[in-house]
Amino acid sequence: MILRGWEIEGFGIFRGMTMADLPQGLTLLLGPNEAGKSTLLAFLRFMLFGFLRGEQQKHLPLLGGRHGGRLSFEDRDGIWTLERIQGQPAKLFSPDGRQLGEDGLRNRLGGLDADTFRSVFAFSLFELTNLETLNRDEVRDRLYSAGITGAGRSATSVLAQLRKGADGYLRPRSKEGQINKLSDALAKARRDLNDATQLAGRFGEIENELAAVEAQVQAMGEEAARLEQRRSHLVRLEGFVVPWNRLGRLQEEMSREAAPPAIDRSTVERIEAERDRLAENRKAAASHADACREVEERIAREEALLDRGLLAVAAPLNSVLQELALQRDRLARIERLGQEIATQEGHLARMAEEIGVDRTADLPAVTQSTLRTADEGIERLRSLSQARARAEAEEEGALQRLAKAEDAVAAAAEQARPLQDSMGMADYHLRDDALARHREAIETLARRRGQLLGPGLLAVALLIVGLAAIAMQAWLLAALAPLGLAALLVLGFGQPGRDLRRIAAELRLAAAELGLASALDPAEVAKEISDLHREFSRVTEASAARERLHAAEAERLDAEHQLEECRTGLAAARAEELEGDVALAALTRSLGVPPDVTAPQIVSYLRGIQALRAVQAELDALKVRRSDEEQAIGAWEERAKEVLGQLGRDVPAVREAVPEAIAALREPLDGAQRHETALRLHEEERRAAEERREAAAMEETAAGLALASALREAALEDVAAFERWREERGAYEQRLHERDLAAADFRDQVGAAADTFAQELAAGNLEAWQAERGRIAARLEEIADGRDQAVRQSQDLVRQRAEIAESSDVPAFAARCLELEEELRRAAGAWRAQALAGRLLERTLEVYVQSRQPEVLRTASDAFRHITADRYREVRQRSDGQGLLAMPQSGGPKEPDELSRGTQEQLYLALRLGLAASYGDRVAALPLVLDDVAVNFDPVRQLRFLEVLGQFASEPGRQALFFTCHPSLAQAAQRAVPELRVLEIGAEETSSEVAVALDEPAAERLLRLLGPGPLAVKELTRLSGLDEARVRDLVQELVLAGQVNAIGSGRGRRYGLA
Amino acid sequence: MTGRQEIDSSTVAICEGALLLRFKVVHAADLHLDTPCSGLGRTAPAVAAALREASLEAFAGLVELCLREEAAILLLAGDVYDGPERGIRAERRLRAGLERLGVAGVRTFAVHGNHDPLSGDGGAAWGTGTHVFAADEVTAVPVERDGTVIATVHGISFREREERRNLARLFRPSGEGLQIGLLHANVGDPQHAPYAPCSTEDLRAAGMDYWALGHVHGRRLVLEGGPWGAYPGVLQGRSPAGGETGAKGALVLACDDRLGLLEPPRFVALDRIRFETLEVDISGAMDVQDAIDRLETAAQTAREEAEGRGVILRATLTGDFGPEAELQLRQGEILASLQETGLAQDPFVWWDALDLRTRAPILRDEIRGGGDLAAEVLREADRLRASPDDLGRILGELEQDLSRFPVRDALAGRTPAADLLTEAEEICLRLLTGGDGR
Repeated sequence: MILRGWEIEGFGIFRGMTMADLPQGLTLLLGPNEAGKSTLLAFLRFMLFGFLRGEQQKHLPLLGGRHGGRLSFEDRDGIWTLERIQGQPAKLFSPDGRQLGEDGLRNRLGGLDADTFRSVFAFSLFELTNLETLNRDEVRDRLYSAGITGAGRSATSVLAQLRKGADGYLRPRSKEGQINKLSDALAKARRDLNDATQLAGRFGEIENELAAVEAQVQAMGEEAARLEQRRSHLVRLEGFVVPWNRLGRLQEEMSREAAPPAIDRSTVERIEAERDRLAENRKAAASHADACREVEERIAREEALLDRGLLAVAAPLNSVLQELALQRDRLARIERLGQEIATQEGHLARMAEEIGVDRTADLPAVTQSTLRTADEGIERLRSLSQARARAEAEEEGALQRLAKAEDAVAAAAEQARPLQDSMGMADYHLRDDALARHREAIETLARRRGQLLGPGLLAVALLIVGLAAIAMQAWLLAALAPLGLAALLVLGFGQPGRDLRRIAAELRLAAAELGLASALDPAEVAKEISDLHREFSRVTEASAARERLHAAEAERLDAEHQLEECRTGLAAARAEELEGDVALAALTRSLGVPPDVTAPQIVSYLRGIQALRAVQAELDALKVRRSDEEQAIGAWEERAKEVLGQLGRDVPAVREAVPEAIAALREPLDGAQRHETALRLHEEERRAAEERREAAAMEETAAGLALASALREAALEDVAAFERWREERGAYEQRLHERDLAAADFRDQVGAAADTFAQELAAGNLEAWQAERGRIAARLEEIADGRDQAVRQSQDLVRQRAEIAESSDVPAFAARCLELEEELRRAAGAWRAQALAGRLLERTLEVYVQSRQPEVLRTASDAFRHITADRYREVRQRSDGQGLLAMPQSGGPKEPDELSRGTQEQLYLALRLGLAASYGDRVAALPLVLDDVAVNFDPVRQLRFLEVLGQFASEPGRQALFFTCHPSLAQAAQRAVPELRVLEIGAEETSSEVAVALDEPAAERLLRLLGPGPLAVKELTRLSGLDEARVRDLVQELVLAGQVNAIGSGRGRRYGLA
Repeated sequence: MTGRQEIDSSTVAICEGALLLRFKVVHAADLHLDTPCSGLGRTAPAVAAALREASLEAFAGLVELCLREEAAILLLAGDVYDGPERGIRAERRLRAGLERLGVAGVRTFAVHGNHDPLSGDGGAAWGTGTHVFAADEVTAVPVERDGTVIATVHGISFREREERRNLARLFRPSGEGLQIGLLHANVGDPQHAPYAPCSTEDLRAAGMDYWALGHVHGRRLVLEGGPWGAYPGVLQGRSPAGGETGAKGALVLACDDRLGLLEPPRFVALDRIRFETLEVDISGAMDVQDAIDRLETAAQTAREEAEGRGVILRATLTGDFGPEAELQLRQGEILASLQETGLAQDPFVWWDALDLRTRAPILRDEIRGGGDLAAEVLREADRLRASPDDLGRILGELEQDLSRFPVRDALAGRTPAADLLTEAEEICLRLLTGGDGR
């Protein structure tokens, strides 16, 4: 890999720094201290590997720009461009333009890691001495493993990865590995499976136990059933003791008693029926006699109250009473009619008076048609009057417009009068043009004169100088005189002179056109033009006035014409109005309207007549109704008076009292009629009661006979004997019934086995039965307890059996075991492969390191020998493999600690060249970047080292960049290595190394303080709060960066912003 | 002759058809009831629970199939159980199912196979209506319908697991109706244990109309035409490998007592969980997510083909895939993600394992010529290969660490040392060369 150039966008003190066309081989970059060499080294490391952890805040772009840049390099595939900006992924562009990322870059670098690159390929003096021994594992890895991998990680990291991977599967002395955990899980799953299998094996035992328990339960159940049956029998037996004893007592009592004589049941029933019938008949006969007496009494009371006189006139009286309310209404109505007639009469009189007619006269008939005709005539007359009024208003308007038009004509004529003595418009324009040309000619003449003034003066000057020279016999200058003369002649008589004269002639001609004797000067011309314009303005105004006069005259004519038309229209309107008036008068006459009624009142007059006639008609109708009512009242009064006369009552003299007299008879009449009706009903009741009394007497007789016959048949004397017999017989039968009930009750309780129970009851003993029942109850309790226990046991066994039968534990645990075994198999297989891979790599590394070490040491020995001018001949590894030895030409081997500092550094440099060569040979040649690593070398060894470096870099594909601040070293190196190329790092792009560590806030603070004006270091120190040495360093950095300028020198030096 | 009508030929055919006795036979084998699945890593609890029930539910499906098809005969051709330690749960379910069939008039015939030989039967009840053939000699049982023998079933059981006799040669036709041979045997398949080995010629010579075979877990038609012979395969797959993948179930035979099989055996899937292996080509996948998407698409197809069953998948990824190293590195994470997504579906999809075969082959010759550490690894591996004792010693030292763990059994089928060395060599080379082996 050959670095071809870079472009730093922003990195530390660099901004926009570019480098191009870097060659293969050794290149020396020369720059003074603080030129940025170390920053450049950091930039190259950053570009190829990015920042290491914790470095991100270093090398911030102090001067702006993105933090990073581009780097181009070349390898066997062509030129690649790498772009890396801090915080973004690197972009690597291949020679054919493809974009790759970090992986592609790592491939180009042969899989090298950043640490190894810093240690072996790109380092400063500090890092050179940092790699001081070879006995540490990581150093060994760097020296031998670095570069022995391809695009992957270093061998050690691969080995670590394999060990980590294997540990993930298995840790012999821990519980963390996957195999460890799986083994534990498998052991547990197998225990679970074993337990579940054993449980399943109990299935048969449980079934046997269950069968035994179920048999036990069944036997207990059967015994309990038997005992329950016996206990139930005993309980029944005990329950039968009481009815059994009661039955026995009743039977005993009946056997000792004599029975009363028996009478046939039908005879007993007949005696009872006849006895009851006789009693009822007697009771009915008495009742009927009481009823007859009561009716007789009521008849006598009614006879006393009855008014037979009033009943004789009941028919006519009822007739007038029925119309009594009607009569009262008629009387009220006739009074109201009288009032209404009087009111209408008054109303009629007022209307006639209002209208102004005699109501007794014959009034004309007014219909709706009449009213409409009159209304139309009036409306027409009104519209004709309005038309006439409008025509009058229009005539007035036309008169006013005519007066205005005449005024306008007079005013316009006055304004247009000045035009009569003014010039014409054409004359005005001609004069205006002539004045303009005149002014233009004046101005042209003045300009040409001005143009000729300079040359004229120069010609005069030449002439004067020439003449003076002639006078002073300076012949060389005397030639100016004819030259000036010639120039004057050319100006006066040549084209310029002719032009002036022509313009003057044109000016005079223009003056003549204006009627002037001579040309005017510019001021006069301007005045002339101004006067002319004022005149033109006046004429223009008069012309406008004349146009307005014409318009006013046209307006006046139009107004006169309009006035004429208005007058014609007015005459026509007046004629039509007169005609309408005549027609309306004829119509009112035909309607009988008095002549003094004006046209607007005609319709209201006619409506009044129409209303008057309507009121009159209504009044007539009221009078007819009053006459009818009078007739009806008279007829009723006549009938009422006749009734009163028949009853011998007084007839009232006042008409209104007659209805009251009749009304007073209503209640007596109603009472008389009620008494008459009641008397009639009582008499009917009396007849019926007598008939019932007679029938009851007959029934009573028959019943007595039948009773006597029945008593005889039963051999009883009378009813009292019958009652005694029945009482005795009833008591006897009641006792019989009780005995039968007791027997039936016993049978019902005992049921079908009554005979058996009767035997047992007859022979048994209640106390014995109760004792037996107690024993049975105790036994039953024992059985119940035992059975409950057995049932619970059975249920438990059934549950266990069901659980085992339907349990998926065995297959579940078996499946779990299989799963774990499979995982264990997978894990163990993976572990074996990884562990074996780790062991294989370890063995390979051992062999590899042993075989590769001599190659590196051989190259290092060659380099070390050359650098030390054969003072040391070889670099060896210690026999224990734990360090290096320098082998001098003479004497024993030396440990690195025994060497001087410079020789020690030479030893390590030689070793790095060996490593870099080995890496380049095997993997990829990478550029060496060395930052002033030879400062501790004496000048001879410096040169010899550069020779070795040049030799190293001259191999194909190799490159070495050597940074130094010593120009003398550069010059010496150029002599020693003719193909060496020296490049200077320019001051304008660089800053000091200190700037790399410059903290940006402090620098910004100083820049801010310098903003108002220059300050000395002490002032800056005081204001910034930084220590003085720091301020000096920062200021120096800023000066180098071009941001600050130094002003003055010595103690008076101050710094200001650039 | 008056009144006799002409009868057309179709009517005659219908009448003849009505006289034929047609019936259905269901043939299943290798039920391995209630036995755990093998070759699976740890599964999610829901999947494990479903797996535990799968074989029993598949058997329930078989019973339903017989009832639905109104089958006359159910044939169980051995290995009803996986071993002598059978689960009580399985016994009860089997007995209940067979009794249900017996009540419905379905005759069940069963033989014992190498997994459940007669010697380990322990007198388990099979339920009424089930005939279990004895060992030692072939016996024949007629099956009647409406007073007519429609079939004669011949069968013989394994007495012991190691049955090495050619049992097919013991079969002879007898009786009436369809001649059915029920046998657990290996018909010339070297991939399976050679129990009751026989050939197709032996089967042909026996004079059976149909051989109801068991033992081989993949469904296969052994004989076609006359006679017929078939392995229905397992009823429910139990592993994501071998003959356990794909649809599993039983065969339905449409038969006639005189005409034999009316059509080739019809397969009916009865498995409750489907095991599938997928090969997914992820060539050209943009990134790992794209590869995952392809896997999920393939899983979706498998799920649809499983027709509502849960699916257990093992996928092999092939093809040239750019970020192979990332795929390798994130293999566990990807598998977990696929499992999570699949579990959320109903029915579930469970990813058992991913086999990454997307790597380019390691170019050993090229590496060997490189002269770097990778080349040295190859040389060291070659040295060990040439010295099996050294390799054995190294492995012995390594496996000392395994001694206290119960993994001896787990390593019973372990990779041979030479293969293990090759695997270790490849691991080293891939890590050292950045993964591509070049």
